[in-house]
Amino acid sequence: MNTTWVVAKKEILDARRNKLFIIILAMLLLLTLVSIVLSTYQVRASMDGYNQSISFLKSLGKANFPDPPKLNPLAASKSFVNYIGMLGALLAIVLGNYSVVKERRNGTMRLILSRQIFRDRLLNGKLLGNLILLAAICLGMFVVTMLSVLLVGKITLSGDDIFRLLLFFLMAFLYMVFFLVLSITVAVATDNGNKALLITVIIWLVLSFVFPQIGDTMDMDNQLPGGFFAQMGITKDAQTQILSHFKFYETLRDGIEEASPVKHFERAGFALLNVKPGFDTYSPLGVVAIKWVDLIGLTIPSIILWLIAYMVFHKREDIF
Amino acid sequence: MIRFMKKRLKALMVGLVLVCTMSSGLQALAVEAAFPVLPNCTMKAGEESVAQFLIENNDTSAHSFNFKPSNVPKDMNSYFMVDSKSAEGLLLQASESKEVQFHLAVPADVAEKTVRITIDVIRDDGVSTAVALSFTKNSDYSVQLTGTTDNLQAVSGKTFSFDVVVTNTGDKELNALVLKSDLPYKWIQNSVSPEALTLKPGESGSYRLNVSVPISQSSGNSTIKITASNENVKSSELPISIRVAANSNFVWILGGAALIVAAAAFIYFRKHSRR
Amino acid sequence: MKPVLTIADKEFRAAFKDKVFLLITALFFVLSIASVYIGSSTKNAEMTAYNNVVDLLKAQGSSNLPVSPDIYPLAILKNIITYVSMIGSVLAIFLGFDAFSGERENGSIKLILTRPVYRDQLITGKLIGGGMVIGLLLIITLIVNILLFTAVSRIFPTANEIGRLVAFIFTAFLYMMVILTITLFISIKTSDRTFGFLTMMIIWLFIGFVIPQLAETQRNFAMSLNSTSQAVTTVATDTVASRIIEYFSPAAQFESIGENLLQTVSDTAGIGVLSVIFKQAISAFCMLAPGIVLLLASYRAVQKEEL
Repeated sequence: MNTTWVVAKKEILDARRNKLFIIILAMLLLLTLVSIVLSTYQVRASMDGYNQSISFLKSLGKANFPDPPKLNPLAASKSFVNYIGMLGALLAIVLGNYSVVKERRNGTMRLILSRQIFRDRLLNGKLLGNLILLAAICLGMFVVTMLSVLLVGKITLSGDDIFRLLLFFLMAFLYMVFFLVLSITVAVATDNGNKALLITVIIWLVLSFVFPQIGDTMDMDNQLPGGFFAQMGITKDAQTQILSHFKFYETLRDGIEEASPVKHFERAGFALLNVKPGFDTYSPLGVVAIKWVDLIGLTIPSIILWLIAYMVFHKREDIF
Repeated sequence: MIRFMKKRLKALMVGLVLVCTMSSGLQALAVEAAFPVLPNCTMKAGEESVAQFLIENNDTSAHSFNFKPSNVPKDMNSYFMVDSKSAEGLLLQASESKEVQFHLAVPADVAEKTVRITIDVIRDDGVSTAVALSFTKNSDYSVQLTGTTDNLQAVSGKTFSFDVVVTNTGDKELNALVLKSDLPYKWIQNSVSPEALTLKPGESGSYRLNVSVPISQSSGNSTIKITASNENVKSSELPISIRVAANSNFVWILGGAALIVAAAAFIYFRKHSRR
Repeated sequence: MKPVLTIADKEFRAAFKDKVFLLITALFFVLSIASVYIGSSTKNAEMTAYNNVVDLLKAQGSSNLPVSPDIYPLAILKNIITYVSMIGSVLAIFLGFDAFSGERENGSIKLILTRPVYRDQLITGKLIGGGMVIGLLLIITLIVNILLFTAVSRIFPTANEIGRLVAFIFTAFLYMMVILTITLFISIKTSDRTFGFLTMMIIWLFIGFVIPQLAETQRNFAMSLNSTSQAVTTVATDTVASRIIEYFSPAAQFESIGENLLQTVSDTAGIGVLSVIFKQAISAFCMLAPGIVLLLASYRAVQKEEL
């Protein structure tokens, strides 16, 4: 355990010298702040727009009004979750790739492996150090977010809201861990550090952008603004009759979306932050319980990749 | 008829009173309450009732008139329409008159038997008069829906069934009562049994619905809204909350993959020594 | 001119020898083909749904039938806009990220500069080489898409539609060249190619996602009531703030031009291609401006910098 901890400490200290890591981290914190500021303005504008729309609907004699917009800036838009999803993943990829490639580049890999350290302990140390770094980053973002909501949004969060925010950053941590492990695994499996980075980025692009985009494209209701059925004036009765013919289509579309860790992170994140309606009545742990599939979707792939990394790192003779 | 006459007299009295109090020879505004569109001022639970009245500007100059209802029960929405457009007031030229419709949205579970509403018609110079309208509930036909369970659960990609109890709370028999459900997006109602019910006053019946949840439905709360109706009556909407759990197929696939890789790792490390 | 063409030729050949580049190119082709299939199957699903509801209403004796949805032929290809914006950008980044930093690390840049090659010719040659690669990929994409589109929809595009497709491919070429130019500038300025690559990825994230999402937060959302279905839906409308923010994103401008050319915007779906280009002139300018500025900055940088 001692050797693992020594390696972990070194990883944490080395991160300070990684310019890219510092830049991405600074951008992530800045974007967190910016998204809360913009969401606050959006909440105010939404309330004005909502009140005008209610008057319009009342003048038509409508009695069923849509729900009012949320006052919590974190619940107002999806951008907060999306920024963390994009930059958080990139940060984790940079950390993971750097932790393996720097040893090769500096020639210290040979030196370390000539010592009395098992290869799996070396990997464990690198993972532990980076996990601590990511956890510290998530905790830092949690504090920054809370302070921003309080000082900029002028909203006092309840105990439940704070706990939900903490759980959201736990999900963000698990999401970033997946990309960290992916990056380490690919770096260990490839000879060239730059190639490893490129491959990891391509995988990230496919999982984070291409799969969700295919899933969105295959949803008919996304093809027209306001929804396909609503735009065509199709009533609910007709809609349900039509949808019964598209079950396989839906299964295929859902399968593609499930393969993306981004979708799992978004689903859990939107539920915890109340971006998606319908979760206000649940307790924070209740939301996690109902989103257990997404939690599994974020955790198990990391475990699978880590076991693969063990085997590859152990097997390779030319790891130097 | 008597009520109508009373309203006409009252308006004229107001008019006369106004004429008496005005020293500058300004003409009064005359407001006549006509019979509502329905044969009698009745209101049906769950429907909109409409009453009409006429506003006449008997002055020599144009005036704008605002109308405001008072004593409208909290659970009812109302609005005015002039020339088929929503309005809160109108402008009348000298000697011009216009019909104003007062719309009252009556909830399906209205408790009051009679609702009395006063419409204050206020001219731009402050002259005002009041029109009294009354709506009486028609309790011949009335129906109530209740759910049988509070804790409905479903799994995405699968079907589930639930029951709804319908009670005839009116004075007359309800024939061919059918259930209509407003489902969340992509949910499908497979069947409802029976398709229609006939209930005597005070009698209750039960429907069983079978619904399919799409595989793409994410876990969380969803609501199905049910109404029962026939040609005479429509019930209030019954919202039924369903807690949807995610389909675990994905977890089984992932768990299987994890087991395979774990087994491979175990075998690998047994075969090769640790280094 | 000969050194320029020699450098361009070298860049062109080197690109196709790189396995990772070939992997990204394969992904790009697969997605552009998939976009035709997905688009056409979605449109077919919409028409099937529409025909189903018309049959249902006719069976119920209703005469109040919904209007047929406007399905313009080129709208089938609309998903390619997103794939070019995403994968096309990454392709351009990959072509350019180690153009200078890689040569610097290898030491080959010193060798090249001992030859009778002007420094600006180095940039021009690399740009032309990258441009040739991008151009070839897009021409193949254009031909494949026209063939697939004809095979799937069974209608041959009209002259106006072919004109729109050609204009779209040319716009995609210009967009990818803008990304390539920005990448070349970053490559000149950074000594480490990994650093250069990741810096470019961050820039791409900003112009492709962060800025458009910031613009989205400034849009107004009005509620509209559909008279037939009585459904209340929200429709986003642009504000001055959202438009100004979007001007800073070449990706958003490319998507706007692409949507208008591929008949997904009803206002411009039926007009001639030249009218569309004229209407999108400001968007085109905003898309090209960063590329032009950084190209000039690159020329200046290579003259001054110790390459």
